[in-house]
Amino acid sequence: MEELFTDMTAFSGVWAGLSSVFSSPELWLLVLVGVFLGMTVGVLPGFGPPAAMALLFPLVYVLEPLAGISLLAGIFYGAKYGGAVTSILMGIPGEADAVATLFEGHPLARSGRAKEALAAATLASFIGGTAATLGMVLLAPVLSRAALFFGPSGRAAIMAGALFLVAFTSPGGVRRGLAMVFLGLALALPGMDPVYGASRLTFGSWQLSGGVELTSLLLGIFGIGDLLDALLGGGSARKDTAEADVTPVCLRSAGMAALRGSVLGFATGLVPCGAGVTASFASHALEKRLSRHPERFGKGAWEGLTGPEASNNAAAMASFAPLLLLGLPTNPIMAALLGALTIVGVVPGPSLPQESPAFYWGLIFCLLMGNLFLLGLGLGLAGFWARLARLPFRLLWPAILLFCLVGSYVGADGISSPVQCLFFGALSVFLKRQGCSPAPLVLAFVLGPRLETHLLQTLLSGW
Amino acid sequence: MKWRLLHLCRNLLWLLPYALLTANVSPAFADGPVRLSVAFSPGGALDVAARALAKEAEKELGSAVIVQNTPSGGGMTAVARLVSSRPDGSNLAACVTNALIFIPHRNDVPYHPLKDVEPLLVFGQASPVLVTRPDADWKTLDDFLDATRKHKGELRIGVPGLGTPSHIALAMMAAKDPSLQWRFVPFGGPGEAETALLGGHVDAAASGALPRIRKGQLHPLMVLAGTGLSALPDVPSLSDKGFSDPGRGDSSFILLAPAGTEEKELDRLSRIFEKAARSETFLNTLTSYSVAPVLRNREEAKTFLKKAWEEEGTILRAVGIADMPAAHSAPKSPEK
Amino acid sequence: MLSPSDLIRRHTLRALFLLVGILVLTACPPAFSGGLPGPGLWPRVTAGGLLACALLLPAPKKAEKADRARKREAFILLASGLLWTALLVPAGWAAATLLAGFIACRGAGCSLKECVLLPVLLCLLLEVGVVHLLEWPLPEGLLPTLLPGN
Repeated sequence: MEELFTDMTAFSGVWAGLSSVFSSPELWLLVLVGVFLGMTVGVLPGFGPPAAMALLFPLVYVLEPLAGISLLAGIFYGAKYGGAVTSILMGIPGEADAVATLFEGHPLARSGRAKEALAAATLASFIGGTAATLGMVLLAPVLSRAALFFGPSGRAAIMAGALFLVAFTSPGGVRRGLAMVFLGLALALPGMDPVYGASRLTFGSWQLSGGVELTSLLLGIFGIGDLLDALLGGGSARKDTAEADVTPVCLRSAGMAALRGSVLGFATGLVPCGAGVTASFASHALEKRLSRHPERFGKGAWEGLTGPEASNNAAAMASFAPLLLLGLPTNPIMAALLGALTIVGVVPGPSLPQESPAFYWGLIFCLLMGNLFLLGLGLGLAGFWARLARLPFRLLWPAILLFCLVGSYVGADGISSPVQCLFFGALSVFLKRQGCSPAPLVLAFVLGPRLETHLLQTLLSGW
Repeated sequence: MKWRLLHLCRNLLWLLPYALLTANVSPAFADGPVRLSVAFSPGGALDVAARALAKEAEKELGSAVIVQNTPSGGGMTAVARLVSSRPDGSNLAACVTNALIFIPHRNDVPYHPLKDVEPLLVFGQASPVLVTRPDADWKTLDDFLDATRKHKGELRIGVPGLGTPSHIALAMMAAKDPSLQWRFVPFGGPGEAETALLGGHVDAAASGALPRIRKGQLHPLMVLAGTGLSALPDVPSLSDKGFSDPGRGDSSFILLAPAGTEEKELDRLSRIFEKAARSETFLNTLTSYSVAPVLRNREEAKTFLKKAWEEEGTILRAVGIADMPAAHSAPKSPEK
Repeated sequence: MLSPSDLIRRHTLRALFLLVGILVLTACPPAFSGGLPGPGLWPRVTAGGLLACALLLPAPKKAEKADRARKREAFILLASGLLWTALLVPAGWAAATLLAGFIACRGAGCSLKECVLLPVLLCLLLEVGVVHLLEWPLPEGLLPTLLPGN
């Protein structure tokens, strides 16, 4: 294996990368555009970064390799920020990665600290992204080797570990948490099996043959579910909120949480295990365990916001390492980027930094640049977004309802999706009344097919 | 009330620049995009060929072709999704013909390979290569087969899915020679299988990544097709070693539309893609991945598929793996 | 003596898990095919987990009951959602949004002016954002698109 990773004395390549970045100012503009677009797309539920990237894919052919890939990459993490915005303000996650952000972010927004919450999320994302990019620069070859080490059994273990962690720290207690995990796994079952392609549990229904849609699940549980909750129970959520006694920001603890999240995100980003989702959930659970005031979690604990945000950005950045150095895409967005790389003629591999130093290092700098832009935009727009959240609830909720319905329809292109969305909303209310929290359910749903695939691969290797 | 309107107006204004930006930035496409599902995860020969084809076809088509990957099931998922999508010419799939020919003989698939899909074009023929790590104990195919016999079924081969041409070829090898037994580990595509190989989780993998072989990252043992590859002159093929070819039917790249699409639309699409398949850039892509530039237009593809379907059943029964368990190579009693 | 509603409340979740577990067990393919783990293995593991949870789940704590008025609002939310879905394909997205939006707003307690304006605004947003910007297909219907071209 040694000859596969030649040593990284190619810091000379860094200069090549730097010069390629600074010599083309339009690169900056493209990254900015990418981040902006990503942000918009992330805000809209159901239209994830894959949609935006797919739309702009044709540009990859037209632009220079570095420019095209940077644009797509900009969309990718711009979307992460956008997802955080809706999570915090409306409690509706733009995508699965943003779910863990809403656990603390939304209560903070409800008690009037929306602007601070958004700013904290942006800063945490910046820390996570930058730390991960630096980590990639310094440690990538070593860690890519580690990534290879995690075969099917390793990945299955990571996912199962994350599920257990989240179940154990879930507010309803271990038993309820595990129950939610199994329910989530069960919801992921209908449809085609990920390994054999056999149809399971579809009961002859065409609607179910694709399985339960993630978008409907997310929008249903967090969008509709929250709305129903607010209508049925919380007096506090309906009116424009009274000042709850939210703890003031303790910069140090929030900052430490962000750093811990970055490490967690970076580590999980290197391995294909649903990194963004896994890392953010795991970070939240971790912060809760480590905190001296765990009862604050769920009501607006700052560490529970900065940790997951940092970790999901770190995971996003870190997933570039296996993509570039091994040609291994760790999530669907990376898979699309791999397609783009192939088209522009960049062959990912351990020797990429030596062979195309301008591209490799140029991309890393573009990622750093994009992170900076995101920081600026995020802090600048926090006020604007926060104003939006102060609209009276009665105006907001039909809009949110429609948002969720359209999002689920478009996300899956079928009538059954909005119905599923409403169903999951009702289910979420029922589960909450029974004392269960739906978070482990969502994680289990996302990880279920992958966990099954890796489990079967492990068994088949050793049978 | 005034305040609210103002805010909402500001929202709309914020959106308008995007509309203008996208209009300027994306190419001006008239119709809605065409979605092309590729049956394997990215990085393999089919994926690269399909993307190159899509890029060429966009010029004539007048609308964007969005390529997505739907791996799993050895191609079955992509075809099943296609069959249940809207037959209005905006949904297409690119897969390897094994999903239409081999798999339905084995599994219960939610589609009929001849009635539920409309073949548009055959645009290539793949030759997967059995590769191993450069530092492995076996350097030639014979070494590998010896090691297989010695370890009695413990060696693991990563395949891009159960029922894919490489899997069938290896299974047929094992069916013919009872001393050969492997564990087949399914992945979403050749790329994943290669990564597992590099990580040491399987001992060999069936892949098509010629660029990586050329770079020395992977060591080729055998070409899993009837004829060898000119790019790899020292590597034996199936027929060189006396094993049967699962049939050129299994490893052709085919472009599909769902049944029920209008005749006019099918004609238009197949014409455009055929033209794209003759373009030089596309052919160059094929050569770099050592995909044979077999080209069959719509009528030819249809006849070809029908014939291959009928032949496949006969071949499989003759070799004794028509009832083969999905992932092991130990056959039931072969019929002759 | 537990009242029937209490009894139901205490055991609903467990019954749900039991039912889902049994459903999954009976409807999934066999666990092993040809001596190897097959597509039915994982569903069985999941079903096993579900049944175990059905046995082990703790009883829920006493929850406050929502009063009538709030239940009515929740019901209106669900109903207008279903209405939107039902109208979407036959009547087109614009008509569905306007009608369902109006009903939802009334249910939310908005004034008449707001009930008309808000759905119109949402329609506009959808028009610009989804139909033109993202080019995602929404079913057309009774009302023509406002801005030319697509």
